[in-house]
Amino acid sequence: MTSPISPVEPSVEPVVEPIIVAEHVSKRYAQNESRTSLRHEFNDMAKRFLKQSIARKPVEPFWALRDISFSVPAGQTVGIVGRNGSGKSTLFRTLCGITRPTEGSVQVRGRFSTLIALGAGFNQERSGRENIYLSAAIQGVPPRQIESVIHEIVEFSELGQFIDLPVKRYSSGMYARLGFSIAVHLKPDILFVDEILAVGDAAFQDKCIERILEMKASGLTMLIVTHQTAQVIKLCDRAIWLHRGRMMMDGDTKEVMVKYHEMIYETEILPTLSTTPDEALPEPVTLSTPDTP
Amino acid sequence: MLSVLVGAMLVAVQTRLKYTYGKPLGEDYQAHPIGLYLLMVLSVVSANFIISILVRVGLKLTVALRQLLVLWLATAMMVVLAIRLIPALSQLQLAYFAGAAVFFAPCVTVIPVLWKGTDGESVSSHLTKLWSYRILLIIWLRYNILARYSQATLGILWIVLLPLATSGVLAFVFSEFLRIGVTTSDVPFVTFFLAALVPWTLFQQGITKGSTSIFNQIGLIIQVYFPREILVLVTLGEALVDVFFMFLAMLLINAVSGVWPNWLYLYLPLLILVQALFMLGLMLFLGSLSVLVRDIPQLVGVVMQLLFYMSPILYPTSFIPEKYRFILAINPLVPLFQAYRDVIVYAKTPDFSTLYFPLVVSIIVLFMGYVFFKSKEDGFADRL
Repeated sequence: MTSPISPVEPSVEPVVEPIIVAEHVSKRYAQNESRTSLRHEFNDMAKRFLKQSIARKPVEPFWALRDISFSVPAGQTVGIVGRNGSGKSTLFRTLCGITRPTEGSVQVRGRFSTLIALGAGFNQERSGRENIYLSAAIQGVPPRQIESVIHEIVEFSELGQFIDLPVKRYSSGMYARLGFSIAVHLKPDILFVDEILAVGDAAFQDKCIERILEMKASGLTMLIVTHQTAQVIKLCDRAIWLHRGRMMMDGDTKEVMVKYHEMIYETEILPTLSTTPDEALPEPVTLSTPDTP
Repeated sequence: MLSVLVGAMLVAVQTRLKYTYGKPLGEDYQAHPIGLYLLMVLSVVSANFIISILVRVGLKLTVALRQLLVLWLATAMMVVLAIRLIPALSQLQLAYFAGAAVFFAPCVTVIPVLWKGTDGESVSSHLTKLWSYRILLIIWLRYNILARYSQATLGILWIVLLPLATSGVLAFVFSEFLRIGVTTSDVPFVTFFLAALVPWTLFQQGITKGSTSIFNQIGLIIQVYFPREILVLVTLGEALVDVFFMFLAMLLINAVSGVWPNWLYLYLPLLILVQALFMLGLMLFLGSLSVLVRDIPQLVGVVMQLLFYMSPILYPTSFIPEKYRFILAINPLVPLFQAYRDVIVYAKTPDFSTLYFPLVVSIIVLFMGYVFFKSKEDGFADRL
């Protein structure tokens, strides 16, 4: 019985079962998709009516990702590097299932946790402790699994007695620390990390890195987005370099980073400085992680 | 595929069974129910048979189209057979039923497929995923409700005070100034009015908040994945909890005016369930639609206002002139409100034959709303 509804599953049978597979992933954002109000429609109609000769400007589609393919075996840590706007975050969102790729397919096996939006979904009026349960539930972890680690979460976040205050009274650092603690204690199979060092002060950042190294040692699969070269080299087994939505390189961390830096310093900065100023700020390589002996 | 077909057939058969016995126009129904059931089964089976032969012969049909044809053919056969074999059957009823079947058949077969595109997952897999997130729904609902009322000094009393004040003012104005109470003199007007106002408030709150439930959570949707219908379900849950307190307030007012709770209140959960299904369907539909068209919530506000006066909330159904009775036939809220009123005010068993119509509409609306929601869900993060 054939039908148009049945999805055709591409059967991938690799030797070692990869935990993340992306196949020819492309993501297109059409500019006109942001027009969501009737007012815009009426405006358009009125304009077209008044100046019929003016044809509607063809909308240039923007490809945030173009034909990205890779697979990650369980236990590997992959760094994703690239300039601002190169599609790193879009790739993450696609992998997390927040958006669907325009073309291609994504498969993620196992439960993942994200360190992208720390504290997303917190209920402002409720206490930090209650928000631990809420946040875990959003990521698909039931409360009874939290009971055993709640002490660790509270301790790790260094919130102390503040854990029972409503989170709306938290400082941004406290907020992020709590979010980070929850995410790393949910025992995920895969962890998506976007700019971890945005969390807390230097001491807490060290603790985070340490924790991530621990989890890495225990066999966690990780995808890390960061602009900090030293971090990538320290944490990742492999690096993927995205540039304007395309995959430039995929391979050994050091090789990729060397090429990446050659590229951004030699060929990219000067031309883009004049055209797109917001894109042209490169991350200084030396000014990176706090010193860890 | 086969299971989908069978499921659709079952739904369709049930739809039809229920339609036949609805009497939205108020005529008395006279016929042989058993004979009619038999005719239905017979015509459904033979329609299936005919279509499958056509498919064997080489007619190329998609599943949805085949289901649609089966439904239509079966309906037609049934109507013809019924007219021939059961002359006592009300012809108007039959025409009404046939019209409804012809109208709703594409709703359950073709339209979902059109919306869905070609790469959608099945409804059951969505439901499984939703089930695995049930704890999120519970926690979320609890915290939202606690958070809302823990801030204000009077706390949970607000839920009771607000409806009390509203209904008090409305009841006073309508019974004392406008003197609608004249025709409902057998029961206090307040009681009469509240019995429909409470379910109406549930409906209005649910739909109004439901239509904004998705894009009020932009921050969350673009950052975390979870089944988005949870947002809508949470909204529905909140509305139900709010209205439960309003219901308690209503009991209080009723007791003061001399109407006491009765055993028939046991029917209320059933009525609420039908209403909740209907609301959920609409909320899913409006919630996803308002992501695409931002004007929807404003529009909903206006429509709600109109619907309030168009529904028999402030006045009994008998106030509606004969020539406008068709409004009652198409508004599924009317029989529901009538049933609420029967139970709460008159302590009568609700007239189940009138409830088939809201039930069927609820199921169809829910099904279509859910499919529509799921087809738009992937675009939420890109559109917001």
